[in-house]
This record gives sequence, structure tokens and C-alpha cells, in this order.
Amino acid sequence: MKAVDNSTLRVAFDAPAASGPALEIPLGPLTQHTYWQTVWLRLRRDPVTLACSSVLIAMVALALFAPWVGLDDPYTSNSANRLLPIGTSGHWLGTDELGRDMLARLIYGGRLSLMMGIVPVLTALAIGGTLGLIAGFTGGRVNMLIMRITDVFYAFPSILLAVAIAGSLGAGVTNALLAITIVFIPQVTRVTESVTTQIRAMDFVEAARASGADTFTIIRTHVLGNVLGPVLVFATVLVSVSIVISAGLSFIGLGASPPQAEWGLMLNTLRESIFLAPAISLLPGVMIFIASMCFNLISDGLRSAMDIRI
Amino acid sequence: MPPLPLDKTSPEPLLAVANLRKYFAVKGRTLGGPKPVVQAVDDVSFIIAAGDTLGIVGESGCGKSTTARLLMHLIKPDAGEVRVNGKPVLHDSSVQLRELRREMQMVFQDSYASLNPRLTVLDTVAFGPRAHGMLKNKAHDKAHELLSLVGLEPAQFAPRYPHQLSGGQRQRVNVARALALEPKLVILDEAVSALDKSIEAQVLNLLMDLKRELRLTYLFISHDLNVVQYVSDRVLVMYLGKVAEIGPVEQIYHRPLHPYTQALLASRTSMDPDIKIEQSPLMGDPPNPVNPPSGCRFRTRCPLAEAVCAEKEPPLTATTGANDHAVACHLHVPESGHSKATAPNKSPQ
Repeated sequence: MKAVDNSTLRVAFDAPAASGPALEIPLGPLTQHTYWQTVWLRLRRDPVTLACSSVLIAMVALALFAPWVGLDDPYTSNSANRLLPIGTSGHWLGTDELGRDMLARLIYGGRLSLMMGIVPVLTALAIGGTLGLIAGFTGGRVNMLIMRITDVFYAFPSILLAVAIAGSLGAGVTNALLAITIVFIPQVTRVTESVTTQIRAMDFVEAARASGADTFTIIRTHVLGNVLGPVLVFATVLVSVSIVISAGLSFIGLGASPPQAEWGLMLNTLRESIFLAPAISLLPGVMIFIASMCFNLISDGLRSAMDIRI
Repeated sequence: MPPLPLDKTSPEPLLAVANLRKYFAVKGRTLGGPKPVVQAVDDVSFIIAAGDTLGIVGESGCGKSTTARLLMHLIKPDAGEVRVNGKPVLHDSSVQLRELRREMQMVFQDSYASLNPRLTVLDTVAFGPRAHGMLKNKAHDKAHELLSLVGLEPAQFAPRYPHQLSGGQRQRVNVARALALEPKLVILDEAVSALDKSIEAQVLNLLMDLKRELRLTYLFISHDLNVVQYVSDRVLVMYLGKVAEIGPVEQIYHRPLHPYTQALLASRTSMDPDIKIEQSPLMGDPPNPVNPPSGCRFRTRCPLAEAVCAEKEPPLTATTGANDHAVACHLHVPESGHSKATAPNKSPQ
């Protein structure tokens, strides 16, 4: 700018090069949302996810408070009232092959079925998530060891593996839960590991290491928050899978046992009546379908709501 | 400690690096053959006196960033020694590394990737002090202080997330984070390269002000020769993991000795639009660092290469005229066997 003599011009040219605070357009106090608040704001505008959540919340609430909502006893059989059709007064969803109230059995069945959907996923999340974090963050030989072991489990289809484990452990709800958990741990491990590996390579993790923080603090502050989202989405899908697998195990006699109310088991015991009362025989299947579908759709909703550049 | 080349006036430089080496294993090993390695950093030595700025220049992939990461001990060196204030830094001792972190901090190139998207600016800046045991309130006060220091109004910027900031603002946050542990040496790895020119100038000026106010020492890595000339006291030119030339900024820029330095400087576009570069001073790409040329690594692109350059590796030799200017070229090693070899002090050309 040698030839510029005009002082105003020079000021205009020199201004941007001046050091000190950057030129900022003053803004009012920003309304700050944390990441999860933003996710919630977006979920609120998603009717499908909202509807599915409402259905599930209703299901869970009914199952939890089943003894207090004035239902018939789900275990009292009445051979005079066997296979009453849907819409019968007093038995709005009919009765099953032993004359037990279907509505009560479906709601009580939700206790076991939903529990078997959610508990294995939570357990697998705790164990598989930890393994995946360790494998992803440590890398190298540890990663190799953990991931190759999970690969072994991956070689089997999940249902087959669940049947094999439950079969060798013996029938029963606890063993079915255990079997499903074991099936899910490698899956959660793999997803967590892949996300963690991505995050670990980011510069901000490197910067955290450069600041001298210990590994635990780095994982807690910088890795966990970024890994949680994608893993949560995956876990929601797993719940729907878990409901289907646990129903399947009960259906083939490896889960709940009669006279327990459980959707998969009910489907099995009503199987013989399918030609006499097809609508009633289908009801437990409908419940499995709705619950599983809702978790699936919520997962989709979560995925898009979390897909924010923040 | 092996004698360092270019031992300057100060007996105890802030940072002394001797024979630093890092080879990375790469895939593609032939059965029974040797393990292929990238010689990312090979036998690099230099010192930085307190208060100085050492600029490192070189093409992409020449080992600039690897050097920075080695110094920060983010990756483990294969060989070599790093001394901070005369104390050797041991990679295996985590206690000592923690102390080192307080002395040395780094600003990364990618301002977005180097900030955790889930943390506010306040938490990002306060993270270092808190990891070193500072109480939350104190760390937050410190973060506010640092934000004003780098020109970000704390009340406005502390609660923001990285995606709510511009590139320049994010890089200011990165600088604040690096300063949070009150380091003596700050490694700036292409810290301003990703910014557009006007913002780059602002951040550069900020860095220079901070250096003066906080009496910092910089290791400034860049591929931008003009920026390096502006900020540096001394310049190190790297080629394929090796030091080609090192010296005071005026000497490197006005009397470059290594043919590579000369070519680099000639490739700068002139500020005068009438001066045009007719012919590219340097042809082709650098050779594959997995299999670097024998002898002098630059010989494949050097206009003055002779037989001796393929046979012997030129040692980094101090020029006799100036004791802190050294060059690794047979041209400047007397009796090296190169036909044009002269005592370096006699060949200013």
C-alpha cells in the first residue's frame, strides 16, 4: 500500500490486519442447548417416533401396574369359557384355550416379554460397551484379541446361537436372558469398538492426551459422550430383536414355561386352536409385532434426531 | 548426549533434539523380505533457544508434523533424545511426561477436529488445568482469563459449542487451550494454514502478541514460506525426513545454500505481478519415503547432482562463516568429491 495517500483509505486497509480481538458482530445472549436438548427438540417434531414412544410407554406402564388396573386374574382357568371370541362382554379380547382372560394375559405377558427385551440389551450394553471402549481406545493387540473373539460369536446367526446357548443351559427365563445377553455382547462390542476407533483418531483426543490427562479422564470426557449416541441407536434396534428372540425361545420351550403369561409362550399354546379361533391365536403375535416395530421406528427417529453437526 | 550441531550461545537451550528418528511400518511386505518402513523422520537434530521461534518448512509428507508429534510424545520415537531445559524426556515415565505437558503444548491444524464437538468452549479450555488437578471454579476463571487473552469475549463465547464458532474463533480457542497449562514452548503445527488470509493475519498477529506478552517460544510448522519468514527467528528446511538446511531466517531467505532451499524459495510467487515464474524450479514429486534415494535424498531432483551425491550421504555441516547456519549438501562440504564443492563461506554466489 505504498501509493495510498488518502488517510481514510489507509485506515480501511489497515484495519483487518490489526491484531487484538477479532471483529465480532455483538450478539445477544445465545440460548444455549446442550446436545441432548437439541436432540429432544428435534424428536418433538417427529410424529412417528412420538407415537411409537407413546405406545411403548403405555405398554410398559400397563405391564408395570397390571395388578392395579382391575384385570381378571391371568391364571384362573375356566373350562366353560374356552376360546370366547373377541368382544365378549367381560372378556374384551376373548379367552384362551383354558378359558383365561386374554386381555389380562396379554398385559401380564408384557411384563415378562418386555423385560426379556430390555434387560439383555442393558446388560450387553454394560459389558459389550466396556469391551468395545477398551478395544477401540487401546487398539493394537488388545483390540485384536477382543475383536477376534467377538468374530467367533459372529460366525453364528443370532437366533441359532441363542437357541444353542439356551438349550445347553436348560429351559427357564433366567437362562433365556443369559443366552440373549451372550448373543448381544459381541454385537454391542463391535459397534462400540468401531465408533470408538473413529473418535480416538480425532485431533481433540490427541489434544487431550497432549494436555497430560490420564486415559480414564480422556475416555470419560472426550470419548464416551461421542460414542454414546450411535451405540444408543443400535441398542434400541437390539431391544426389538431381543423381544423377537425371547418370544422365539419361549415358543420352542426354552424360555418361559406354562402357565406363565409370556407372548411367545402364549403363541405356542394357542397354536393348537388356530383353526378354532384364529383371531385370538394371533393376538400375542400382534403384541410382539407392535412392541418390536415401535422400538425399530424409535431407533430410526433417534438416528435422524441425533444426526446433528454439533 | 552426543554433541549437538549448532550449539548456540545459550548453554541450556529450552529444547534440544538430537538424532530423532521415527520409521513407520507400512503394508506390502513381500514374503521373507524386509519389513517396509516409511522413514518419516530420520536423524533430525536441532535446538530452540528460549524466546526464539524456529520455523520448519518443507513439502507435504516431509516429516514436519511427525516431528511435532514426536516432540509432544504423542507417538514414540524409535531413537534420539529430546531435552527440555537440559532434562532428558523419557517416554516410559508417565510422571515426567506429565511435567513435559506443562512445558510444551501444541496447536493443531484442523481447528474443527481438534475441538470436542460435545464440549463447550469453557470446558475445552478448562480441561487441561482440571486434568492437572485444578479446582473447577479456578479452572473456569482461568479459562475466562485465557479467552479474553486470545480476543474472545468470555461472556459471549464460553458457553458456545465449536460448531457455533467461525474457523478463526475456533483456532483462537485452540490457542487458549494450548496456553491453559502455561507452557514455555508452543508447537504450532500448520496452525494458521487452514484459515483464510485475513483471518490468518489476525491469528498470526495474536500469536506474535502472545509470544511477547507471555515470553513464549514457538516451533512454527508451515508450508507457507512467507508466513515462516514473518514469524521465525531461525528456519529449518526438511526434505524427506531429513534436515536439509537450518539457520537464521535472514540467511536462509537471502543466502540459501542447499539447492532444495533455493528451489523452494524460487517457487514462491512474487508479490510483484510483473515478475512471473517462467519455469518451475522444482520438477516432479518427492521420491517415495519407503525407498528413499541412496546418498543425498534430494539428488533425484537436484540440478547439481553428481556421482558423489548417490554414494555418500552429505552430513549436516556448519558453514564456517556463521556458526548457527548448517547445510546438508556435498556442495558445501570441502573435499566432498563434488566438482563444485567449495568451502561454504566462500560461495555466496
